[in-house]
Amino acid sequence: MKAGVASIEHGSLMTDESIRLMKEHGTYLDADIYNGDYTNTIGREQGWSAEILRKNDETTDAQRIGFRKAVAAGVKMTFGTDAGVYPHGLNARQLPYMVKYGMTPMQALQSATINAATLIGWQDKVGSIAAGKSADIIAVEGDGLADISRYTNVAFVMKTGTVYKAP
Amino acid sequence: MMTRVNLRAAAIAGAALCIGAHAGAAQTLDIMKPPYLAPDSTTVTAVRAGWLVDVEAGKVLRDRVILVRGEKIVSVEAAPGHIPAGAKVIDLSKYTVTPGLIDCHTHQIGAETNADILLPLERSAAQETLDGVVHARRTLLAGFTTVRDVGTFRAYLDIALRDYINDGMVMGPHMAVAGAYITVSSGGGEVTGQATDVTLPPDMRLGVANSASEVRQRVREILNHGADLIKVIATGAVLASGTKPGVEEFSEEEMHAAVTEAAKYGARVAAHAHGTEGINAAIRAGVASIEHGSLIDDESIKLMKEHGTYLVSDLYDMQYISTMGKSMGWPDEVLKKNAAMAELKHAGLRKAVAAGVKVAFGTDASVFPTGDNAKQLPMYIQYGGMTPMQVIQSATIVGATLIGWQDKVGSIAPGKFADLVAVEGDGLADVSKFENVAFVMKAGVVYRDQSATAANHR
Repeated sequence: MKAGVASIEHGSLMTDESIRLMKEHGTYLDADIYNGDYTNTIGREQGWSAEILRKNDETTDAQRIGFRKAVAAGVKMTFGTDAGVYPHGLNARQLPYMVKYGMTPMQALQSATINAATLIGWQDKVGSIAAGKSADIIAVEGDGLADISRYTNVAFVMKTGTVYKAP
Repeated sequence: MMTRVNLRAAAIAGAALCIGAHAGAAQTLDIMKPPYLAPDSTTVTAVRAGWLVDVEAGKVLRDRVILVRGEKIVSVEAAPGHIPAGAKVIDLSKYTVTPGLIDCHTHQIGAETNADILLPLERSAAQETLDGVVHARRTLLAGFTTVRDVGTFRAYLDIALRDYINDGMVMGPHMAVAGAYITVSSGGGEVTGQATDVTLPPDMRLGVANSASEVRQRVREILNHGADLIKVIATGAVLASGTKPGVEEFSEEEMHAAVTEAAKYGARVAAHAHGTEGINAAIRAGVASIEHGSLIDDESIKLMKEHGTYLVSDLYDMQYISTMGKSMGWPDEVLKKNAAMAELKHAGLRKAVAAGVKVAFGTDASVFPTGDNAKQLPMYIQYGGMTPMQVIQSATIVGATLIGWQDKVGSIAPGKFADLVAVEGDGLADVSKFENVAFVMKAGVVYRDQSATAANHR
């Protein structure tokens, strides 16, 4: 952060000092707080090495504690999952985790839309439903914010005006 | 560095990974299933064909019902036939239904050819592969449900594409692939045109062999890596620098080594051959097919008949270059060579057809834009003297038999893959209709349905 990077990826073992620096430098936190559970389950089943499972244990809870603190401190949060560690397509499973560890449902969705767009530097192109932006829209049934886990299986996907999935 | 899961393995094994309610469990979402898998055997489809081209009997049958269960054809009956309750019905009663078409000479991997012969060096293996994904989709949608893919400059990318298609991850035809080119160094299967002191990357030269024993070694390597057939470059090539199409680059002995080594694996050899000596040496060596065969003579035809060798004659690519070549920037010298060779090739094909040589349809896509493969069908009539039935046979059962897949594809018969193509009206009255097919099914999956009755096919 002192070097001026835009984002900290993982941030598993961050301290209060880290959070202070993030605030000071406007650094984004991109914490993958879902996949620890996946690794813990599948890794044990499939017999991943003891070293990897131990390191996973050492970082999973620590990362979530840090995440909660960062949310409370108002650090800029983006959404990132390390997809590929777990099967691609299950990315949205992290949204309920983010709520569980301190975000409001709105904050979780903001992290996965406008905050991420701003981190990439594409806030003029994507990240919100606004005139002039790319027509990238998804939908879930009913009141999505009432149950963020609905986003783990979206009903509708449009990207740049093309419908890729519809109910 | 985190451990990465294999994308294909993860999606295919998704069900196996499913362990219920645990937070980390990988329940499979619908979106994670391979999108192009054949339906299971509970799915029954009845296809009503107004005209059905029976390529094995050489007859056109009127009003037939083709019953498809899962990925296979189960029966062909005279209409109305016995359509089980619950079967989906596809009404093509105003259409001609043929077996899915087969192109025995394609190059799915890599960018379409242009005048820049150094193009392969300007593109990464990833780009070449992604071009393959684009070409495979277009090839299938053009009605070619099977291809014999005869080589890629970057070795083995074709094997990966074939496997992703077979796993249902990528849209494309059934592919029999060559893995690489077996070629002499600096010969017709090499990337050419670079400075003499520029070294090519190793994956572009895995098929280089300069003796019978090296040929055997390469054949073993390529087949052990999963290729289906072997492609030998018997003579120089046209769209390359330095190599001379008329020159025999491998000896008969070296090609015989390829044939006998491949035979141990049950694999066949396709020989790229333009010049007469190279063609005749390849036939005597026992290759399964002569590709291009530009300068076949009477002796070649006699030898082909004697050895049962197939001729795969690519005509449309040459017409494309003669039409488009100037605007594409091909040098006059290449265009002249191309024009002279085209005439000889036409004459050779006509003689071969008249003599009863087995001719399998093959185009050399992507020398021209992939998807235009069927533009060569009328040329086999105009220049080769075939009947429309012979052309369709050449592009179905004859190609299937050359590949060795005659039990799986190439005709509309029980037990074979449900690979079907349809054009409006009487297709044999005008084979140019196949340049824009109305309907494509591969292994029981409908990929294209622009028939007038498509809206009812649900």
